[in-house]
Amino acid sequence: MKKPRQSAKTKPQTPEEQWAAFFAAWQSLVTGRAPSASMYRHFFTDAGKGYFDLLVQLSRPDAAAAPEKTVLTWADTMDALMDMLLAANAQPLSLPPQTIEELLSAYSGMPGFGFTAEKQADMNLLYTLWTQYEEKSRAYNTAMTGIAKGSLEKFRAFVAKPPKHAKPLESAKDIYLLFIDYCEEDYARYALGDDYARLYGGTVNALSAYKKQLNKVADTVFAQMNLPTRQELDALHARMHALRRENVKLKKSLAALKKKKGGKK
Amino acid sequence: MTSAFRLDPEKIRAEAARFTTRLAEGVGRLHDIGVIPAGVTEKTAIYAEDKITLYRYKNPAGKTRRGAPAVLVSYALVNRPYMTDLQVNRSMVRGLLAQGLDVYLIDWGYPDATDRFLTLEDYILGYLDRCADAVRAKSGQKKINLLGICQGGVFSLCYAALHPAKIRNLMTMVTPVDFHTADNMLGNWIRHVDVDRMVDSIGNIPGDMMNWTFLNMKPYRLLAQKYIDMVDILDDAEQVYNFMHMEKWIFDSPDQAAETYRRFVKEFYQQNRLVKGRIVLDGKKVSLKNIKCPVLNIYAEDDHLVPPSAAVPLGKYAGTKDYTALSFKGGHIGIYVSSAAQALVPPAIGRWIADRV
Repeated sequence: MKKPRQSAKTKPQTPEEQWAAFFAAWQSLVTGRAPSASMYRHFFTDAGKGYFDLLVQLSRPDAAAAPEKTVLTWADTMDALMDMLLAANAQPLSLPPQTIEELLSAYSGMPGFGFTAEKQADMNLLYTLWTQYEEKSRAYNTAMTGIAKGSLEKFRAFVAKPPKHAKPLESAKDIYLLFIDYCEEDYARYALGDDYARLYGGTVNALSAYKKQLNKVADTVFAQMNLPTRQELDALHARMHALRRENVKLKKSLAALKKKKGGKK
Repeated sequence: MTSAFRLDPEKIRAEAARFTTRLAEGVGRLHDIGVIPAGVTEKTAIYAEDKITLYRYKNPAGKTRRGAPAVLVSYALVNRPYMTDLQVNRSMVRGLLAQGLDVYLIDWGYPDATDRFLTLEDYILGYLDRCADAVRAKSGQKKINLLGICQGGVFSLCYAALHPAKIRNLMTMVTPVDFHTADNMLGNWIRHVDVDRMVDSIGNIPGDMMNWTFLNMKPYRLLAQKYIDMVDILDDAEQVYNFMHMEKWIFDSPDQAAETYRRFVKEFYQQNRLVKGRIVLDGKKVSLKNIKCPVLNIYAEDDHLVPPSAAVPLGKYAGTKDYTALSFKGGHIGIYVSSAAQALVPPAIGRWIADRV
């Protein structure tokens, strides 16, 4: 994975740095390079590969003699992975001063003018909703990574100072499973809480709002090309089902009538 | 100071060698798997409509006894019903047939965009009702036994409440009834989701999206650890075969018809209307108190999708005086396929029905 250009810990301070951050954020948004949900998904597959990395490190000649050092070094690589996720998901749009946010909203909040006023407004809204989803998505990824970091800390604490009667870890798999257990336990606790429910709901809602507006914009294009739109297809399907239900009712009534008259069913 | 480790360099090297050897050899074994069937027991389609098909299973041990109690299995819309008939030695359907039951199963099919406007009524009062009628006609039994699984169990509860005259006995398996219990992770996640907005924007809910949700309930185990564990079994052809059967089933997920999903999530998950008696289908109120037939409620003690706390309350809300609960030590999936489940669940169902024919 490439190193992020700007770490979460080094927020831009000078006006030049702030503008540079703004343009970087704008560029990543319009070119589709912004961090997405898939980034967090990759984290899990990387965590799977983590077992293999651990096995390789522990197989080195001097590793088993100083397992604490080896395992803590391995934990550091997992930590670095999480830091990268955090940095990539830093909120460039929320960085001080507020002029960056204001500038973005000033752009997307502009009313449309002239002959293409409606289209302009649609595109502006699409842009606004996309930035809102981005913000939610980054917050989601950040929170999830934060939970994972907490679990990693517990794992490190165990390695550094195991509880008195803890069963010694005898294989790379034992060590790896302990790491997974800590992660899963903390995650489950978090995922059952209200904070997570709000974060999850907010992210899904923001994505839905963006996609809904995207449908509208796409429908406009399809209509211009004389292609069926989603709205038209929906209307057609809804009518088809209504007719189907009516047909089923009529068939039932007919069968009942026939039965009543003693006719064949 | 106590060390967290007791590592033997030789054992670690052996572990690494074993891992890489199994991986290398396993690739060949995975190539040899071939096509994995979707269900193993012979069956005949006895009714079909739109994308749904009603099957009757043939008893591999011989002809089904005349007058054998007819059991209609109503599976969930999520995932495919061949989970009940995954492999010859892991088949709940075969277990039920072995109990002398006449087994029917509804395959809901794969909804597409033309099914976006299918409603809960279409599924419960339409498809399910017509399948029940088809089973009644085929078996010559006025009342049949209905076995609802997971979401299919919720449908069965609604159906039995509205059509008591057609149901002799009702069985629910891993079926949520109270959707607002503290350990219901799915229930928690959906609380703040604007379902209307979601359905309006994407229409049918993609199966992949459902899968991703389920995987996220235990992301480290299901996305990372599971495939590390898989390497451990790669040198055992039978275990690999079993694993791949399950893998196929897990990711064989139909899309969810948009309007049905909308109402199911809003009214059951978000508003918990089933236990409040506030589900209304085609103008008729669904009251669990109307379920007066015998009820067998089977739940899994380690179910992370439908925790026991969600399933057990059926006993409190159902109107029956003949209520039996059966708990299984296992999870949501193990209840269909584990050897313990094979030994416990179908025989228990067989005995329970036999006592109530």
